[in-house]
Amino acid sequence: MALKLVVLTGVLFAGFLTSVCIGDVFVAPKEALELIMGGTSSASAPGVADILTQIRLPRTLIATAVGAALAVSGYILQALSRNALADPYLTGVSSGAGLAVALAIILGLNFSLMPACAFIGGLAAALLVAQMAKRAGGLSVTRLILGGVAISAVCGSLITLIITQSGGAPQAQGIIFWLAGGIAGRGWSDLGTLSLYTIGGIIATLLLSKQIRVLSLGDETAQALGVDVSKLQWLLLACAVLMCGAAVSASGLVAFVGLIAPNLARMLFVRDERIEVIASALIGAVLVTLSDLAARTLGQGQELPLGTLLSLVGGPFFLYLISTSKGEDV
Amino acid sequence: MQDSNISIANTDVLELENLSAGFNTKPVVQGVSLKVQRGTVTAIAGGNGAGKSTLLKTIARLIPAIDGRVIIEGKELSSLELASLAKKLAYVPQDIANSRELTVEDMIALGRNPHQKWWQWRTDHNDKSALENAIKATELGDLRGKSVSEISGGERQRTAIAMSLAQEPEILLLDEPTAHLDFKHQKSLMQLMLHLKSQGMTIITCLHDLNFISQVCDQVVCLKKSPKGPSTQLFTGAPQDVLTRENLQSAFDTELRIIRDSANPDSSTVFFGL
Repeated sequence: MALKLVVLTGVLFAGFLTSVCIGDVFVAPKEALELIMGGTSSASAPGVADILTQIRLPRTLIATAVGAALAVSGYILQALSRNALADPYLTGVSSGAGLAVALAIILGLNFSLMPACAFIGGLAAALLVAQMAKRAGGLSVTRLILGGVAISAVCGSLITLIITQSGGAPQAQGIIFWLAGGIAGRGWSDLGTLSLYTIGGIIATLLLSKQIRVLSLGDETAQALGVDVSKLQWLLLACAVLMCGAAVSASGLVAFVGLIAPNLARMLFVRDERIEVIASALIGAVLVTLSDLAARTLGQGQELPLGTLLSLVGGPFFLYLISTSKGEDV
Repeated sequence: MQDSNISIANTDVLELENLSAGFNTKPVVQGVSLKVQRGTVTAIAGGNGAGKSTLLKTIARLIPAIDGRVIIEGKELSSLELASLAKKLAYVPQDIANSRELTVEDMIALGRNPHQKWWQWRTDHNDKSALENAIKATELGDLRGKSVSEISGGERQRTAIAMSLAQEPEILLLDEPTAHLDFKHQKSLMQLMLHLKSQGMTIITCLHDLNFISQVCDQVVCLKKSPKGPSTQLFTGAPQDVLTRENLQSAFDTELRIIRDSANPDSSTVFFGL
């Protein structure tokens, strides 16, 4: 188990380093490490240091944080709904957060307020979907996902309306740019808020991991074991939506990370909620880092949307989960 | 020690006062009054849909009482904190939902939750000994490493009972504990209940099996469904006094006969049917 975690961390580190080194200007790994650690490198051409420390490093760190946040957010949503098919994107939480961010951009709000807006939007969507999908002993997967699809569609149309009705305001351009799901152009200033929410959310989830296990026995049994079930559910939902909101406000709508990462974590490790949270975060970080790398290197002359690779992998994975019926009655 | 045992005996550990239980202000059963002494076994009997489980869940505070009161050791149920209630009172549902691969031992260990800090995974000496005692009492030693999803319904039921024993409660509520058990394990459940009782545990259980009730329980409360409106309390008392042919025919609306074991005339063994 420890070995697998070390390997995962190693994979994340390798992915991180590759992402920092590869781009229009190639930087040798050794040189990159020197620049990251010490700030200067004797071998580097002028400008390389700036590209690395001002553009690639913050961008890769953001990708890492977005992946970890979405993955743990998905892990929580799956635990709450007792369903392995729940994920921030499929349940409409991301779209709700997205609509709120679009509104915030058009109103010209400061970027530091985005996560709060995303939180409110995501929470509203989560509550709406949960209300629709409620049934004894958990949430119905069919209703959850159908409700999520419906909410995503409504939020998507509203975002389109906002863009088209804005009369070509420069903010509309900003929404389109952000919507495509990309972290191009994000820098150190964006990383602060995001990492705060992500690290805080992961720590909170780890602290709650024992209660997540108790909750898996069902609401009644959990309450009989002394758990204030509705308080716990609210706390977990708040954690999930906060992390998802922070990720969405930084990177737009990125699908499937929250679905793939926790499921892979459960496949790789024997059941231990603490390990699953950490492994989900690591796997999510690897997925988004590599996806971002692919997005900016595979496109001919222009960047692909960040979610391209993820959807390419995530869609079939989702179908696989459905076909093995991991979703129903989980 | 001896004195304290005597002084806590014959005290009411739990009392129901004119209790109405049900969902969303609509009572399923109403007007139940009952006194339960420490170290006794009480059965809740009655036909299907009479509200046995609803009554039990209300005592466990899983659903709020609609009217009347539940009093535990002199304190009103609703005034107790959830965690301190869970140290006093354990509830075992008919079936525990657990979809994922928790081992038998891991699941039983969750019974320690009310005794631990909410974020705490580490188990201390008390947790470990409570876990071992629970496993021993339910004879689950051979299955402790198995996944809960791959054991039988009866084994899962025993795991659930073991989890509640790990809680080290004073009052144990069991909802249809014999439902998934074969004859052998029903018998060991009887022995377990009598053993727990001898250690001062108070047990309240929903049961269909009249034979089981007559052999294990000190008191039986029988609910009867009413054609219109909620169920009511039909009779209450010691099994040998109240499990009469007339009472039971009225409770279940069907003919039955009572046959006593001639070799053991004190045991009121009930056979019902043709």
